[in-house]
Amino acid sequence: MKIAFSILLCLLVLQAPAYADGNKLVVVVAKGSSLTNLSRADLKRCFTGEPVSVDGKPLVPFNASPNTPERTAFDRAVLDMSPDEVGRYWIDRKVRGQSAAPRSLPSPAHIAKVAAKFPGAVGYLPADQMTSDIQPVSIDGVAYTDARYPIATP
Amino acid sequence: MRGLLTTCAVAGLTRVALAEPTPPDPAPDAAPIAVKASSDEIDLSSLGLDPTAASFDDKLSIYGFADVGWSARHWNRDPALADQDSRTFVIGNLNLYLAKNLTAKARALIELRFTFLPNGSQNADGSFVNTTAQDTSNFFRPTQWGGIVIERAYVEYDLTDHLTIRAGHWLTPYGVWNIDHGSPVILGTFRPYIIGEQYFPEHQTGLDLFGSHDLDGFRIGAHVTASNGRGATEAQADQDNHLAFGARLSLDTPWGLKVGGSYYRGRYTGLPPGPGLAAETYLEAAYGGDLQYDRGPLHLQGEIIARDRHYPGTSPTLLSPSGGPSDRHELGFYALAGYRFDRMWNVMPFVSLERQNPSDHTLYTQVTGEYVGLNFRPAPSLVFKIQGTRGYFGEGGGLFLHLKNWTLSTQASWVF
Repeated sequence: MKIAFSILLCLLVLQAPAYADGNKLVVVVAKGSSLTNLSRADLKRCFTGEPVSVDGKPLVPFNASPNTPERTAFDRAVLDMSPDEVGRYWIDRKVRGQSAAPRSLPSPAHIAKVAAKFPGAVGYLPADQMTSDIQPVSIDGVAYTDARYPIATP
Repeated sequence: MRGLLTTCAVAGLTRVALAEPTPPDPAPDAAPIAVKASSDEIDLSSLGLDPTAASFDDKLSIYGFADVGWSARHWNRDPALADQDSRTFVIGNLNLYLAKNLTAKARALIELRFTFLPNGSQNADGSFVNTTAQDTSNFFRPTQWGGIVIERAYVEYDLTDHLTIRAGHWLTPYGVWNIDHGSPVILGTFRPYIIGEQYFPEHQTGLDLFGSHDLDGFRIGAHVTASNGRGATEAQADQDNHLAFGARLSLDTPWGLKVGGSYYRGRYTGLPPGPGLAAETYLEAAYGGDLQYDRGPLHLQGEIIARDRHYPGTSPTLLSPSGGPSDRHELGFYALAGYRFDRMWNVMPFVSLERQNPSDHTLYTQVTGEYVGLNFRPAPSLVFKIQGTRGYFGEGGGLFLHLKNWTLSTQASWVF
């Protein structure tokens, strides 16, 4: 019994950090961008249709596809909304004449590519989908490698 | 046991070592994250994204909303100005939006409402407008034409991330309901009486400087407006050459509570009723407060609005020996509560109470409305509503004294 418990403990020790970081959603921009940190409030503004600029250039947000774990987790963590609430939010904004929803991209690879190449693009993807031509953005000064980082899929 | 733990620890270290290269943003507790090479096989142009083109969506967006409803109304006695019992279908709104980003910081919006009016509307002399015309393309058979209302037409520019200036014809920024003016967005089948009565003008033509700032989870918003004000031709010509000014302050809290206050001051000038006759004119000030509270599925909302009208230089005339209209004060409020379930088409039962005290007591001195209804939203862009309303004209006097009505109204509204 003790041996079984020890094996289980070892497996948890081995797996826990990789599991946690693999589920973290990293906010990313192009490599070399002056943007290295965003406040959570500005991140929310950016992904709820409000203008946010860095060095005078507007950020262009890109979302994960609706109903993906990444999109659901990001909307809950940053916008504090469920998928239904997000749907109503954007429709209501359209009717009010306010800005439309950020464009959704089909996969983390697309988000990585767009973040790397498209001027001002900001997106988010699982930590294990990082590529060499994008860089992570800290949230309120907390890097995604920090245990306190606030955005992750369940 | 110790040996097993040692083995595990070695395995863990080995795993960390194998997981190098270094993470993109090393930190003291940095975890081993593998960094992939860039995905060059993805063609951005296939997504309609060209890195060399404008970094904003410059396509023209065309969308809108519409609603169709049915209502039945019964009065406890003949109200004289309407049928005692009525039942009808109605096309309420057919609004079309044209929106376009002009630059990364500038946008334009046009909202047009297509309506069957003026056909069937009643003139001041009691006659009705009849737009029936012979359709020459259809063997001169009768057809009825309608009209187009320009709800909004403006261009706006972001001066900074937190400050935008808007020029054109826009909805007056006050309260909750005038911003949520589209039928799919509002809970009930019609607007509260005080909103419909337009204590604040529904639209204005001029400049609106607005912005918001976030601070520790709070959002402070502000509007300052300068416009032609209310008038008979406010979108084309200011009949009195006096600017109207307005302002709004709002605060969103992290707990779901939003409060706001709005103010408007201007001069109304109508068109002269005939050659050589003076147009109606008065100074007006409207002020109101609003509150919204959203906590999960719970939604509370309320507004209180007052308006003062002052008729300057009203010296006695032959037609008005008393010196013309006296100054007026009117007040109204509504309160609404709803609870959105996540089942049964996301049904939201709601109740509402409203009251209005008009300045003109010819018809009534106070009206009270009580509502109960259900708002179904099976999809974000599709809404069904059913609402029961009891209206009561009580207290004081007026032609409608003690008149009551009961209305059952339904509506389907959608965004396209």
